[in-house]
Amino acid sequence: MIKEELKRGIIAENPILVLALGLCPALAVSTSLQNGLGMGCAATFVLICSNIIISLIKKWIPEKVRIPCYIVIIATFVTIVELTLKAYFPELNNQLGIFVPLIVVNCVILGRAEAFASKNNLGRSIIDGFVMGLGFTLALCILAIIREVLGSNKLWGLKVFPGFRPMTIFILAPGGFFTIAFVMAMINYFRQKKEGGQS
Amino acid sequence: MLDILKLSIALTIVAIGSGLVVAFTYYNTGEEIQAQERRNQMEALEAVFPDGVEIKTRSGNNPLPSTYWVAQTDSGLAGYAFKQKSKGYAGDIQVIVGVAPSGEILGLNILSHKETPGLGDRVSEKPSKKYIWNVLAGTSEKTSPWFTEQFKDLSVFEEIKIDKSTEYHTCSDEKKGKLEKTNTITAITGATISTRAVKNCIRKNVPEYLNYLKSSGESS
Amino acid sequence: MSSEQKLLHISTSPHVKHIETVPSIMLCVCLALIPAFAASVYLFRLKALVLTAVCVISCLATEWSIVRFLLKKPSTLGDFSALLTGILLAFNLPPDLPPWMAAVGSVFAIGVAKWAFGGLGHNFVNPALAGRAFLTASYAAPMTVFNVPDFWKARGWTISGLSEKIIRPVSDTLDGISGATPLPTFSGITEALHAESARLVDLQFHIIDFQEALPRLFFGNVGGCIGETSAAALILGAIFLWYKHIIGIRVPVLYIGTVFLLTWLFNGTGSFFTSEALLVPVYQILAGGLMLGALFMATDMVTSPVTPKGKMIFGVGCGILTFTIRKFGGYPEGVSYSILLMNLTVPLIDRYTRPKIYGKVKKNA
Repeated sequence: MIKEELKRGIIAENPILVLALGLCPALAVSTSLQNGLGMGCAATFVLICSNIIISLIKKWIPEKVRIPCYIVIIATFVTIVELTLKAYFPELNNQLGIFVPLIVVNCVILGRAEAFASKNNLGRSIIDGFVMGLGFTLALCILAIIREVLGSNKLWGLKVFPGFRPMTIFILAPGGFFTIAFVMAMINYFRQKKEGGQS
Repeated sequence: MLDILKLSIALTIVAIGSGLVVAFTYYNTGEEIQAQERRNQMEALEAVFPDGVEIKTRSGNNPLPSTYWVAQTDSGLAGYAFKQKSKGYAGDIQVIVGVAPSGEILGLNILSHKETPGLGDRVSEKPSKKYIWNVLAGTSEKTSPWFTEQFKDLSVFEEIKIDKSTEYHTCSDEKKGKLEKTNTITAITGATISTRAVKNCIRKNVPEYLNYLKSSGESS
Repeated sequence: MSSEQKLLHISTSPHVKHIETVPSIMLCVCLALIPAFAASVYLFRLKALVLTAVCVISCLATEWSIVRFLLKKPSTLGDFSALLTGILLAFNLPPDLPPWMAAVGSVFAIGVAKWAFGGLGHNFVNPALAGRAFLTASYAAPMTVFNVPDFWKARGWTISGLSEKIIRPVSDTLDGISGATPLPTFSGITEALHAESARLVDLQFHIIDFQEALPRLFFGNVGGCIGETSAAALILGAIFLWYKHIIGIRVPVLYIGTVFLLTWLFNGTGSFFTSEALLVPVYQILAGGLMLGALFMATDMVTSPVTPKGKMIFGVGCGILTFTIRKFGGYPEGVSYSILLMNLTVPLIDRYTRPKIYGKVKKNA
């Protein structure tokens, strides 16, 4: 079951590359692998925690105020992440800047709270939070690797190829869109090929 | 009516719970965050002064900035540091600059900027010859930001000229000496605006501050 | 399949075909670019030749490989559109750009701007301009260094020689003069006095001798992209295209006219009818890539509106954007971005300027 869940989070329902959720932070922080991984971990933490709390208290939250409640819960965890980063990981906090507080409005998290955690039990919600967070983090890392290598000829802040002149556009917003588009296109291509082969 | 009451109670409970958790986190991290900020400030200041000075914070009145720093050694006053900002290509560039009372720049540190990646953001670039392969092999290298380094020993009282023909980190020692003698910095290729903005940070106000400090006799 | 074979085959209208086809139009545009190409080779010598060859070859190669390996369809090289994209892209590049960068730009122009959207007729922006924008964003420094043509260098003209003749430094505290296109001087006239303003790119000098500058701009004796320097050669080619009914007169005239009008109104000299105030707009329409853009890029059939009213809106819009970027922007040249931006509005323009159907009665009539 775990294997299936992993496959669902990473490939079949990848939040960024298939569901196209949370594209704004994905574009903004996938300029380097460090940022991408940091953002991915922060979002995964918030996602798992909010899924846990929401699946625990879903019975007591009235239908009409559920969205404000979810947002309050998500914002709480985001604030915890933000304060922790500020205190113990100042470098990463400087890099991610405004995008940590913006995890609050990251639609991946609210989306999973609404679509999954509010309808499923604790165990399944934790697994969902974990696999979705993993899918989000992996997608960010893939984008970040492509963009960092092409856009600044670096990986984890270190130069990669001697003599290669980086194409700055890839660490700017347009390059982010191109990269997402091409990664999505590749995924669709392979998926269609697979489905075509089966039928 | 009852329904509204129920909704508000639910929301209130969630909010109170959340508030408690946030307050608890803040209580535990607040001190560390403040310490971190102080450390950052000290690091930035130490970078613009020579080693072994004692740095004191002062508050100034017009025309001085509200906060500035004074560095002292055993033999007397070593210099001042000011926070300065100037409009770059995209948003403000904020620097902290250390100057000797004679107007000689002791050091320059870029605090924040929003310049274009690959062009203007090279104001804080550290030239590195190290590749990822070297790191995997385990060699290490010390780097420092070349752009701000070249301001060292120039005078704030004279116009700082900009040489666009070359970049400092590629210059020979002889050329570097010549640049220093003529009070010249080299520009970042393709980012003249950012280069000029950093220069303006230093030329703007700093000479007046120094003159004021000198005339007010605050040299101790 | 079998049911289709039984049917009578009737093609959609038009049933009477004109001899004008896609390849013939593309070839005509290429022909019209020959004077400008000749001028560029004359001025920039080998550099222009090499850049154009690299762009054309890499555009054709990209087109061929995409169609052959990705789409597995018959070759589309025969419609000459890739050839035209290559030439136009090369014309938009500074002469000292390393050829491999030109090749990267060509691959982007054909691969992403054209084929990722479905090929000729489906691209929503001009591929050559998209290639240029890609290169400007990626390699900003080499894309904005414009040297004086070799032809003039060989005759003892250097940037500083040129500047002494036609450009006079405003103040003595100069950072040195770098070889930008003559364009920055526009904002320079208004802003030169505030020489420390952050918006100033390389604007420390300003044109004082228009009598010397204008003929040079007209015939192309200035720094710039290889195909844009000679206004005369470009106009010659455009007249040929206009005569062949391939380009309309609306877009270029309104585009250039708008820029002329706006730069005249905001000429920065404080008056409207002195000779200098009238020469500033003349200078503006001759300098930079405006002629090339207005005559050959903004008139591209695929990426400009089809309706007459739409063409007018398109031309005026390009003009306003170009003026805005030149006057207030950080980039020294705004033609390519204004055309790209207006390209994006074309579907909207076409939709709202659809002409009335003949014989149909208005709703409220």
